[in-house]
Amino acid sequence: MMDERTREMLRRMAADVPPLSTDAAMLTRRARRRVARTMVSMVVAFAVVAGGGIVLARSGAGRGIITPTPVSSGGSKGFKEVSAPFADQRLRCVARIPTVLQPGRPTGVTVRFENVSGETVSVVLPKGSLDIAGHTGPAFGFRSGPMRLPTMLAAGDSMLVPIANPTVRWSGPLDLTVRCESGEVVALPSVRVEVAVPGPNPDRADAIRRALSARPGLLDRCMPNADGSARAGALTPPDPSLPPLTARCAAVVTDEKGFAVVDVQIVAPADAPTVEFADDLNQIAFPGGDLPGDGSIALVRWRIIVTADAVIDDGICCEAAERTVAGAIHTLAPSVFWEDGRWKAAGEAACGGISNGFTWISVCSR
Amino acid sequence: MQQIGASVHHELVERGETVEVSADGRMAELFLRHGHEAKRLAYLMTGNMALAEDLAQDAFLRACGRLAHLRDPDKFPAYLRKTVVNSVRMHYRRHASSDLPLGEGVAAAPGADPDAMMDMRAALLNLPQRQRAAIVLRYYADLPDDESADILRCRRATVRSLIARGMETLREEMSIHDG
Repeated sequence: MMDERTREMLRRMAADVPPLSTDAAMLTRRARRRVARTMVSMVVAFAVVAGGGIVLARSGAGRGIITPTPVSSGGSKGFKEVSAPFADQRLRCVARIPTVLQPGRPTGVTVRFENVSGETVSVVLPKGSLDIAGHTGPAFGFRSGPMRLPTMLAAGDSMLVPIANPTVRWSGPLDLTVRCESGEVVALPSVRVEVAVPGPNPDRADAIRRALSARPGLLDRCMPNADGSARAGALTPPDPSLPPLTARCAAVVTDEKGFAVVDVQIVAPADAPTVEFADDLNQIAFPGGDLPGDGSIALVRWRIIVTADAVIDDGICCEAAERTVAGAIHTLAPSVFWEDGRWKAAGEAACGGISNGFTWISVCSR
Repeated sequence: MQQIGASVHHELVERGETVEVSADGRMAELFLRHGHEAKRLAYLMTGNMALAEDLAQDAFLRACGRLAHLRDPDKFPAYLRKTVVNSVRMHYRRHASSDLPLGEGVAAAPGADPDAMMDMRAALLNLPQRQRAAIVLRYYADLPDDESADILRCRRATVRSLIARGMETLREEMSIHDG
């Protein structure tokens, strides 16, 4: 009987696992390094399974980032294009970059590979990554876009390559550097761009008030103080049958040129140890990261751009890091997410929930 | 240009994946057929979805890198499974936390007793890593003990011993729960 019970439990646990993502942003630094290390052997493998008649782009893995020569640049109105050949001159990587970025909106950078070889080329795990540097230093570091499977690119054809497209939350000027990856990595020349200045900066307290009112309901009992300092309270889940979750809620305002970034930071439960919010919560989200203490804890943030007359939070929501300790998991906790303009409960809302980037509040009470 | 099969294409569209549908058919098929199972296995062995994603990606890339060296391509699933288990083991070795409970919880399936489910899950995740792996391989992957022994790099008798000790612990935990 115990055998069957075990089998059933494992089957049910497995049934809750979503499919393996092709999003390279999910990879840890270790896995990303492995992508580079395995390129050579993968190219060999694909040569075997793909058969003859196909010219393979020779891998340059292990050579690190190469310096492109020659480089061409140009572009249509409002955009600048930079490009460089790579993969033994068989491919050309072309990045199209807006010359003026809009605060609160994705950068709009696109990357494409062009086959300039005259023969079909197997493009291995093509992707792009993006560095954004501001006048005060790096603003957004080397994030890959979603990984794509190997692609046969016919002579003269081009393909769009996924690239991270972060929401702009920095003042200009910014230096954008695109890296193109397919077996080897080529860094395109940096492009300096401006960021639009929407108008006068909003008052800080007003920015907090307006930012929080963009996501009504959940923080009604955990509203940060007017000066942004943390307040202990409780999060009210959208499903009234779920218990509230104690939390500390704060709002940190950064003034940029013509807009403010309101960084809403939530720590649950309310008595969790003090924790510093890293600029990138992924840095502390993975095992071995820096979440303090040894109990269950959830960190949630969303960054909202506030101008003098608008609140923009598209695409900035829901960064989260959490650790749920097994063994003290009898208390159900809210597990909620924001979708279609309202808060929703996630699945069964059991403690822990599903935390693959969608569930943003989920922690077990001890 | 080599095209992937219609069923694979359909599955890609259904899943809304950002993969190239005109991709090399071989890797697309391998990914679709075995990627999810690799992640499930990693999850059952770690109880942590983000870590399982990472380890499964890691294992998949590593296994693909060895494709050319596999005498029998049909052995890819077994090789991938072995690579997943090794990736989990290497992770624990690096982090020196093989006996630490991991996990972020999982919603109880409809109809299940949530408390019992959570108790059993917690008990499983509290098992030493090798006991947990042996139990997952037998009761989830349905592997015979000699295959598990190959994956776990031990003798068949050791696999049986690992399972017996793990199940004993689970039994004790569940008897406490059942009262």
